[in-house]
Amino acid sequence: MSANVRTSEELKSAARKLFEEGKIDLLIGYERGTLPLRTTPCFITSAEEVDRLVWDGFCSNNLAAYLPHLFSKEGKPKGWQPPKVAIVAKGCDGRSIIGLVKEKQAPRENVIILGVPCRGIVDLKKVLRALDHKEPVSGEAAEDASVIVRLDGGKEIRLGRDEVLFDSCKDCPHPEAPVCDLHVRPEIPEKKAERDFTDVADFEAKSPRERWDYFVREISKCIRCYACRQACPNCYCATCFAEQTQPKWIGVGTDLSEVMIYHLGRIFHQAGRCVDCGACVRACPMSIDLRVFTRKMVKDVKELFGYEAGISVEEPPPLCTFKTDDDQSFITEP
Amino acid sequence: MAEDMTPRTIDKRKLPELAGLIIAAGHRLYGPVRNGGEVTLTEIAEKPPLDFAYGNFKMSPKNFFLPQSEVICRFCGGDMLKDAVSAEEKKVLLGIRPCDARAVWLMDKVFLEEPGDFYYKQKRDSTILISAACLSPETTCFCTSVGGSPAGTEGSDILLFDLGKALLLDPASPRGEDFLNRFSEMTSEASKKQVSQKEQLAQEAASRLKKISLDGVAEKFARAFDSDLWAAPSQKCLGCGICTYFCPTCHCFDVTDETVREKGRRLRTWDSCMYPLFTLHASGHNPRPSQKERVRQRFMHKFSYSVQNHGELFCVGCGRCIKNCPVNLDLREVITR
Repeated sequence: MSANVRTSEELKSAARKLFEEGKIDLLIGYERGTLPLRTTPCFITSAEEVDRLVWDGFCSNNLAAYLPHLFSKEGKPKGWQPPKVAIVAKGCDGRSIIGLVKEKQAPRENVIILGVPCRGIVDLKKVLRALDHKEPVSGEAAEDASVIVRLDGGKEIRLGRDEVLFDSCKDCPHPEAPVCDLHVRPEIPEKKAERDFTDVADFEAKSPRERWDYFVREISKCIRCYACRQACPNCYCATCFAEQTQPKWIGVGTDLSEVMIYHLGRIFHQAGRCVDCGACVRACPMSIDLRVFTRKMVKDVKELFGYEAGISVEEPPPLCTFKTDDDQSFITEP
Repeated sequence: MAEDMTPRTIDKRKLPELAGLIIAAGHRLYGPVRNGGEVTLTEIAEKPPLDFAYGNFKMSPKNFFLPQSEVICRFCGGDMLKDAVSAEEKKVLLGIRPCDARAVWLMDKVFLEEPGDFYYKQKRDSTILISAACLSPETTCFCTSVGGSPAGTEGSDILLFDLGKALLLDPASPRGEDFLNRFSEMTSEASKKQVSQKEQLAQEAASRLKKISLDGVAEKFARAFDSDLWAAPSQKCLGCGICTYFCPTCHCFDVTDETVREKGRRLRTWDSCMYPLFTLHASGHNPRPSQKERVRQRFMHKFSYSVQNHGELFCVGCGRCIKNCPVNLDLREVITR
């Protein structure tokens, strides 16, 4: 039995137990998708359905994105009580959940975090590139996130972990949810060393002008489908500023200035909150390099304020605290 | 109509020359250009495409007829300014797939029926569609289940077949025939062998497509308005606009005035039934308050209302919504449930 199958089986038993003990109303996890190398989020409400659950390196969605809506009182009838929800969480998803708890979007006592041993998620765009854009007909991810794919005609190809891993998963410092109620197969392999942010060094080395040009070039690809926003657990505003009509902050067209304002708004609202899960990048159908901008902010917040999002429930977020010796260099030296 | 005309053929080596003539005749020529793994419909100035062996364009050609953002008029105070609408340039779209041409044919039913949409008609009238028969459908394709075919001609002016060394050009409309006649010195009459080769290729492609049964889907959906059919797909739907923006037949738009003091412009932009703003009333009331009503609307519009209003399913089976959905919400699962 492969490691992923073992995890899936243990996940099913844990889920079954939670339902049988009446501890949860809903479990959000992953089930096999309809396309090769894909899974899809699934919402399970009884012990009979837990066999749908799977866990492997194709579980790319950040399921925390569903929580704010589940716990929002909007549209719910009078006397509504928030549900008890268990949620399958990779390291980054777990951090997102903690962020939501801290921002009062999910009551901690109503969420059971089911930590799974994540060794990285497979980037399907990289798989396709490695296959010279031939569509695979099936495939499996091993526990180390290397992949075996089969092409039409039965040819089997093995792709190494480094070749197919999402950039955000490389050297992930938190493969397990830092705050967790139930660890499924906790014997996680070797923990990676602290991440060193060399991946944003190129971007930082650019002059402000060059950085702006890069931003403009990437953002020009945007079709304003808002998938980056919708896939992000942190984007839970009841009405996004981009869609407000009274007052109207930005226009509806595809002029670069409008598109840029949307992205600047989205990116800066992530300061001190982004857990670098990569959900925005995965959702973007136009392959925009959205991550470099938020990643740079993750670095700045860590270096200037010593804060990493989603690690502890107690630690106050940097935007909610003020110290007289707070570093202010980011204002004068962009 | 198309059956009466004789297919033409051209040696692939002569394609650059033909492209040059088309451009010299005042058409802007758009064709398949590879960019990494993606193929986009891009303007061709010199090097014409020789390769029609791609699945489909990343985005549908919808933008050519219903642009994502379009200025429909400018105004100053109470006066309409006359500078917004200019004559459309002549365009040739080369290598779009029959499913996407069928989508244009479906959009025609919405935008060209009386009284007709001026902006759409202008673009449609000035554009020649040369489709390339789809000889290697993708796993997400299901055109034969929704009334199309890999060698279907709806919407196309000319249907092209890649026969290896030569291309076969089959006129599919009087406009297409006229177009081919204008460049007849570049082509010759297709041989019987080539015509039978074309038919064989079309059959092979069609046989590779998995058929899904959609009998009575319109009636089924009409009865299912209040059913729990919509719960599962809407629960996982993130509410982004990818499926609608990538769809070649989704045509809902918004009209917005953007003004600075007394001067302004009126914009028509793509809208999406996936967004809360789509049906938000000025009063603040929203008749589609949650993703359930929005997801239902998308399916009802394509598979039920369109059949009532236009007699056709408004899905061409291109599979873009399936391929690009961030949560793998597969339309095929919903319509066959």
